[in-house]
Amino acid sequence: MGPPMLTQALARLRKALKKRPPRRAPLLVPTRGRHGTPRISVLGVDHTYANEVAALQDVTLDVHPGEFLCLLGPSGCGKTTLLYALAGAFKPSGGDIRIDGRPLEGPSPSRLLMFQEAALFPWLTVEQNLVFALGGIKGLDRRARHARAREYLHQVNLEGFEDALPHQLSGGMRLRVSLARALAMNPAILLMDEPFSPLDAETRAQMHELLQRIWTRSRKTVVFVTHNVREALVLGDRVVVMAARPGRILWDLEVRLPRPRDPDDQTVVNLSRRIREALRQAEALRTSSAPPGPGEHAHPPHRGPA
Amino acid sequence: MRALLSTLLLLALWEAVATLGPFPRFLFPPVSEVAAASWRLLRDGSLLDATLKSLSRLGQGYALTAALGIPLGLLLARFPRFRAFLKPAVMGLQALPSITWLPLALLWFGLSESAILFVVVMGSLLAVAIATEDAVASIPPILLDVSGTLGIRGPRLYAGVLLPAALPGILTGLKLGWSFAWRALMAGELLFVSGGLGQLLTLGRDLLDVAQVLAVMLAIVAVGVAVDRVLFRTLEQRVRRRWGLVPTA
Repeated sequence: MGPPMLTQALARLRKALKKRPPRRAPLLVPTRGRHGTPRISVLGVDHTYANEVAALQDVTLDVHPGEFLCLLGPSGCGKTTLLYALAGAFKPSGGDIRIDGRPLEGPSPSRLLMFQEAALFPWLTVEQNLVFALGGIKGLDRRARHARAREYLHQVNLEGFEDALPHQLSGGMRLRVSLARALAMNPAILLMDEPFSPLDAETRAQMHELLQRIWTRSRKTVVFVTHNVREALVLGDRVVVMAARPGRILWDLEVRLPRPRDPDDQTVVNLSRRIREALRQAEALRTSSAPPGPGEHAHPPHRGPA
Repeated sequence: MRALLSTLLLLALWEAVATLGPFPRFLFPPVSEVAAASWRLLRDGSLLDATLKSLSRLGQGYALTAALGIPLGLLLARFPRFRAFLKPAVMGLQALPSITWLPLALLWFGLSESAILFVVVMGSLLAVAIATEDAVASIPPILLDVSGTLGIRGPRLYAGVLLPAALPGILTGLKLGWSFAWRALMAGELLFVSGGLGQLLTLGRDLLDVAQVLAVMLAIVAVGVAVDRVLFRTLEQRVRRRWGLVPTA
């Protein structure tokens, strides 16, 4: 920290910058294709459930290493179906999913799935929960497992709660344990299924801040499912907006907001209003071709490397 | 406290009916005589010997029941084909009163220790297996999902997730199995020169000593209640508290 005068001046400058309308550089632009092997490559994936509902139709999507991608859409748009397909929980009825260029095979801790609840083992203490999960990682002895468990509990601000039992913790704390467990497993890809939806607004905001902080440090590849537009804008580098019946991708947008982002920031609020309106129009039209969308360029949004 | 009071009241009633009622005293002795008989059996050590003998026999049979019943229940819960194949037989045999295994046990094992063990195991095994199966089948699916994504499978899944997750239900099954085993044991011991509590009962009958019969019956009740209340209740409460199934004070 510099001298107080300088800090104040900086604060004023930051405020002034924030006030300026974000005209110059568009904040939400259609994602452009990238070079290099994508970490996840989804090509023309269809999935139809036994009851004939088209959960996914011709979904194409690349996720690159280190990207934080949010799958956003109303319920029934297939975002969760797509996430579970990525986890390898089932095989979609059509299309191809590749991980680092290789075809996807079944569930694996390298593509770790976080659920809507903390899913801790209730008979184990917080630390034991992490240590037990780490037991599957080869070349890690007992002491190393405990050390790593404590390190990640520290990252989610849970030092002092190592010996607590899950039912003694609040919902937000349980979720932080779950996050620490997921991160400690050091997966190549972290798949998150609306993990913060059961939390109250305040706790959720804290989790957003925490997750952003950890993510900017670790730069994991994350696919995060949510139906909350602001959450998607706060967390994602990319927001992939999906629509229902059939489940499909409408827009694939790059979010160019500086981090850390605040869900109450006016820019975020405005952008989320725009996305919601565009979604409503899309619902009203109910066409399979996407309407112009909320991106700031006139040309049609990019829809994968077609 | 209440239970103690009502027990005392009942004993007083018994004493009154036995002394004042029209029943022959040698067939319906008052509490005081039963107490005297208990004291005599305690003093000469025969009650303690018999109790220890019965309990050690029960311990062997019950250990076998747990060692076979819990894995059997796990297999029934985890392998649908195995379940489809064996479940009808298990349900059918479970309906058999344990004493009906005795003739078969006598034919197979003769008048021996093994025959009693056989009856005890057959009387309690299936109850434990069925309770274990239920407990494993009702594990919250989220715990299985998270085990899947964390790469927990094989022996780590069975020992580290399935068994502990099902433990509260398994304990309930073990408690039920224990009471079945205790009953089966008493039935078995009645017919043998077995040295257990059951034989002490038979001995009382042979001597036409109703006070002894009643004294031994009271001892059987006492052992049953002690194990159920003290051992199993404590164990169950501990597990339920640790598992977060009861609100912690």
